[in-house]
This record gives sequence, structure tokens and C-alpha cells, in this order.
Amino acid sequence: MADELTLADVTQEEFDTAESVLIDLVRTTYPSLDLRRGTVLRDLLIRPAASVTALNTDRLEMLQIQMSLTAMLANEDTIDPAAVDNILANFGVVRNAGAEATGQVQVRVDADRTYTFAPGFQFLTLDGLIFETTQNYVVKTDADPLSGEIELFLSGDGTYYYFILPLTAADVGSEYSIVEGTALDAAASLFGFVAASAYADFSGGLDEESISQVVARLPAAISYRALESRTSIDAKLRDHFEGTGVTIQDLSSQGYGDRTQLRDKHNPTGFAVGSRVDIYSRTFTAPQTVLLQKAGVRVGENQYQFTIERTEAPGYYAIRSISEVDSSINGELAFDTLPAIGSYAFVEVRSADGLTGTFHDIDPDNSVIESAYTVYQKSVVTVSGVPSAEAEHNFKVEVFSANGLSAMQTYVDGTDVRNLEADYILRCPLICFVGVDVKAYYDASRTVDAETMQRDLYNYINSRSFIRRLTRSELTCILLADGATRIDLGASGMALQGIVRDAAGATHTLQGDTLDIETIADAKSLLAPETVVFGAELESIHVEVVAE
Amino acid sequence: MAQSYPYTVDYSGRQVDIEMLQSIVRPVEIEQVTVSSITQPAKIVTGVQKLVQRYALLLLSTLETVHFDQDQGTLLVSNLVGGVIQNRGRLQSAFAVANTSVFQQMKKDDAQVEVFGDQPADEILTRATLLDFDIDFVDSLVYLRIRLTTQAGDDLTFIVPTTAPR
Repeated sequence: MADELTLADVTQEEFDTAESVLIDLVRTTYPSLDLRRGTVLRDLLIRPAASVTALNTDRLEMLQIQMSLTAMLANEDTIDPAAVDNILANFGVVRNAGAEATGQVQVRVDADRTYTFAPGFQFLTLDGLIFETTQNYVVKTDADPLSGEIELFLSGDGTYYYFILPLTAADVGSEYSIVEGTALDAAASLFGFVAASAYADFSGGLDEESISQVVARLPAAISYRALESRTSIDAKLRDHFEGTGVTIQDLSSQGYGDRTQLRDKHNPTGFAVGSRVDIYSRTFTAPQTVLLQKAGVRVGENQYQFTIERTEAPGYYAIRSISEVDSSINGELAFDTLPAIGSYAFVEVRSADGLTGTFHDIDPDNSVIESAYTVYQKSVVTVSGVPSAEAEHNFKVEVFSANGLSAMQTYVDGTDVRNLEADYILRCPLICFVGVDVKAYYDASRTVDAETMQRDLYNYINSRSFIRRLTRSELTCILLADGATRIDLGASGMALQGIVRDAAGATHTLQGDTLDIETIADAKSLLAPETVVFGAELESIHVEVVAE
Repeated sequence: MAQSYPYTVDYSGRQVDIEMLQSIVRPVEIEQVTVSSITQPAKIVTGVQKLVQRYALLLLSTLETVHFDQDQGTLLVSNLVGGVIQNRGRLQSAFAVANTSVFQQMKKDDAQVEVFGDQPADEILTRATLLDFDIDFVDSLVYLRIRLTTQAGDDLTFIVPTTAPR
């Protein structure tokens, strides 16, 4: 804050300027005062006054900066976040303070015994990221899940025991969204500890909102708060879910006159009547997974079946993988099929569920598509190729999902929130999973960091939502900015590919110079640029740097 | 004791300063230097007296002790109290260096006529000469007797009392 500045913050240059100004001012009015260096007046009058003047000048500048978001944006590195919050408070807007990533780790131990964890028990990654338990956990083989106990399992080969422990990042930040399989170590002594690794990708980690980000969203944040226009729907949802752990990255509202709005044409002639709004909400940066443990029932030779209920992974987009419960898959989506490599083969049949008693208008004859990616979908999954003859077999299921869809649906359904003449349905956006394989050349006399390039591509792709296309030239610009001198755009140089699953269950592959959603658009399957976001997992981006 | 040579000078319209040393009654003892007190009406000085005061202030200030003006002063006092000056020869040498530094510092502002105005001839220092000096190792006192010569040709001898390590 401005009043926290002291004389220690005044620089010599600022003092010299203030002293010069003071001497001029005093000499103008009192020309008989000798203010040369070495005079008592200079020492006792000018110097202390110049110090205070310089300090006040600093404070005034700081105050002026703190009165303007634009000025604070220009001084983002040095500005006090509290000053930003003070201005935002004038508009009833709260800056996102970031969020801690959460997830589960698989902890391996050497023996069957009871393990107890107090809140704050910490695990560390090799990079020093700290994760901790947030409550008491008791782990044992005869655990009672209803009382919050965690079950201890024997591994498939009988060589060790393991359990799945929920952890939360010790601090906010996206860097805590570690990927499945990341190794962790117990920070304190854990008797019998063998190893630990992320059981699935951690999610929800969010950086503190920067000034530039909050300035960018201010127009929406201070707009008219009602579920009326695209902007106001965006503003109202963002405002309500601010700081709740549901972070809305982007929204696309499809209503009257929009081609992917199918629900307002439920009449014999098929003309649009309006009052139906489908809200596609990107509440994730990188594609986010939800982890389920499902018990499959044997339905055939090496085949098991289970149901993903609508409440288990509300509005999930696609299944990433189905595997054994104690396995870890570092899947790579790029250039192949939508399930991660290493997943069991499966077939899923989706259907609508839970619509009875709601006012939502979904055509029973087209319910699979109209309920797709909403909280009203469920699916029956048949897994094949399972090397087991048990009557029941447990699976680890990872599904791509948009966090907070249920909470958002409940919110817009509230009669005190929604337009009483309208029907709003939240959907997880269709995700175009992007894979990039690129060879970047650089000047041998300089250094480039392939990891930085990979991370920048990852961040860029995951920021592209509800737009028509993603092009190689966009990605090339990022690589050039990271120090590459040229990119091989030949057949073996830079490959770009995307995979999208439409609401009917068909997958579409795009590749080449441009991933143009319009070329595969099919409004009847809810596939259009207005419903699709681009996303990439870090493992799907390969950057090879070549010195020349 | 300070000496002066009577002459006639018109002090009207002169730039003035506040008198730093109200009196030097007996300049050979530490306690007898009294600085202006807020309980006393401030006295102003001008002319050669102001010059002497300015010279003395710069000579006796210690380098790097004035906030935002680290170049003001000399190392004379710090050398004296630090025990660096062990004999009369070193004292002469230290004074010569300090004196040169004071001249440079004074000239720096004196050259900025547009800022600080013109200076009368009796306020422009042309020479400072160490007439006499002594180190009293028993009482840890140093005596400096300096003659200042202005452009007007007036001399004023003054005595700078200061302490040395006991």
C-alpha cells in the first residue's frame, strides 16, 4: 500500500530530483537564503524536506497506480494484490485466489497392518511439490467405508499391499496438477512404506488470477447479471462460482437460432421456438479426469459390464481408460484412438436418465444426443479382453469430465436464478484432443528448452475454446518465440492431429495444417465450433529440438 | 582565538545562512563548542563568516554519513578518531587531502550560478592554509589553526577543536 512506503524506499535519484525542485522553489521565494552544499540551511532545511518530498512523491505515484487497474497492469510485478482487490471491490468483483489441486495417490506398503494418517501428513514429489492429507484416515483390510476408513488391498501378484489415499496440494497453483504415475515420497516416517505414485491425474490446481486476467474478465463481471444474453450468462455463472473450486475458463451458450440448439424445435414442423439454452462450460484448463472404481459383472468370456451412473461423473465427455485397479497408465492420446494406450477395449452405450420430474425439454426419441454430456446421461460399458474368469471384476475407470457441472445445473435450475420462461441445460464441451509432434531447429550458438516449448504449446492449446480452428502456424509462432529459428513443416517435421467425439458417439479425426472443426461440423450431433474446445495432455505434445 | 582584519563591507542583499556555532569561547576544549539551540533566537551569518562556517562544516563532516549525500564531507575526523593519524606528518597529509575535497565540494555548487546565484568576492574561497597544528596525545586533542583566504583578499583564521582517541 502507498502508506507502507518509507524513506528506505526513496532512491538517490528521486531524492536528487526532489532536492533540486525544493531548492528552486525556495530560492524563487526566498532568494536571500544560501542553500549551497555545506550551509546549515541546506543540511537542516532542504535535505530533510527533500527526503519527505521524495517519499510523498513516491506515495503519490503509488496511489495513482493503485487507483487504476490499467496502471496496475503496467506494474503487475510490483503491485500489491490487495490494492487490486480493493478496486475490484468497487465493482463487486472478487479476484480468484487460486485453488489447490486434489487427487489420489496409490501408496504401496510392505505388510498388512493398520495405517493411520493425521491431517497434514505430507507427501513430496521429486520436484518438491507438497501434498497433504486434510483429515484423519485409517487404512486397514477390513475397512468400513461408511465410517471413512480406507481399504488396504493386496496387489495382484501378492508381493505388496496398497491403498488409495486422497491428498490435497499444500498450496494453490496449476503446477500441482501432477499427472498419473508421478512418484511421491512420504515426507515423514511411514512404517512399511515402499512407494507412492499419483493414482490418476491431479486436478483443480489453479494459479492465482493475475491482474491482466481479471481486467480481461471485468466487462463480463460487471455486466447485467441475469441469464439473458451470452455475456450476462457468462457473468452470472462466473460470479456465482468464483472461489468455489469450480473455475469457469470459457462458456458457450447456444440458444434461439443457433444451429446446435436442437431442443427448441420439438414440434411437428421443426421450427425453433426459443427459450432453450444449452450452456457448454469449460471448467478445466487441460482435459480433466475423474477416477472411478467400478465392479464389472461378467457377461461373457473375458467380458465384463458396468454402469456409469449419471451422478458418478456428471456429464462426462469420454472414457480415457479402463484398467486394473492397481495399474497406472501414462496414456498418450496423440495420433491413435481416444482411449489411452494401455486401456482395455470397451463399448459404451449411453442413454438419458433422471429426466422424470424435471422441466427440461429433451426429446425422448433423440434423448441420447440431447442429453449427451449433461448431468442426465448415464452409460453402460462393456469391457472386453479381461484376463479373468471371476464373476465380478474391479476396474479403474478414468473419464474426461467437466468439474462442477452438477452444481452449475442445480444453480441455473433455481427459480430465483433462471428466467422462468427458459430451459437451461449445462453440457461438458466437446473436446478436440490435440496431438503435436514437432521438430524445432535452433541456432547452435544459443540454447533453447524443449520442455518450455512443450509447456507453452500445451498452455496455448488448452486456452483455445469455442473457435473454429487450430493451425500449425499458430503453434509455429509460439516455438519461434521460444527461440526456434525454423520449424520443419514438411511431412516428417510437424504433425498436428485432433480427435473429437460427437454426441452420437462417433469419433472424428482431423489432421494437417489446420484442425478445422467446421469441416466435420454436424449440428445434429452437437458438433460445431461453438460446442468444441481444444485440449491437450502434456504427453501428447512431442517437441524435438535440433541444433544447426 | 579567531583573528579578523577590520575592513568595510556592504552586507545588504547578501545571501544568508544560519549560524552553526553560536560561540567559541575557549576553542581548545571540547565542551566549549555549542551548537545553536531552539531555545535561542537563530542568528544568521553572511560574508566571510558564512564562508568559514561552510568550510568548517564540510571539513568536519564525515564521508558517507549524510543520508542521500554520501559524498559530503571528508575523512579527516574519522581518521582522527580512528587513530589512523599517529604523528604530525600524517596529520598534515590528511588535512591536505581533506582540504582538496572541501574545495571540490564547494566549487560544485558555486559553479551553478543559475541555481544558487552570484557570490560576492569575500565568500569565494581561494586558499586554505594550515598555519599551526598539534596533537595532544595525553588529553587526546587535536589543534588545527587554518587560514582561509577569499577572493577579496581577506584572511580569517579560525581554530577547529576536535577530539582524538584517548
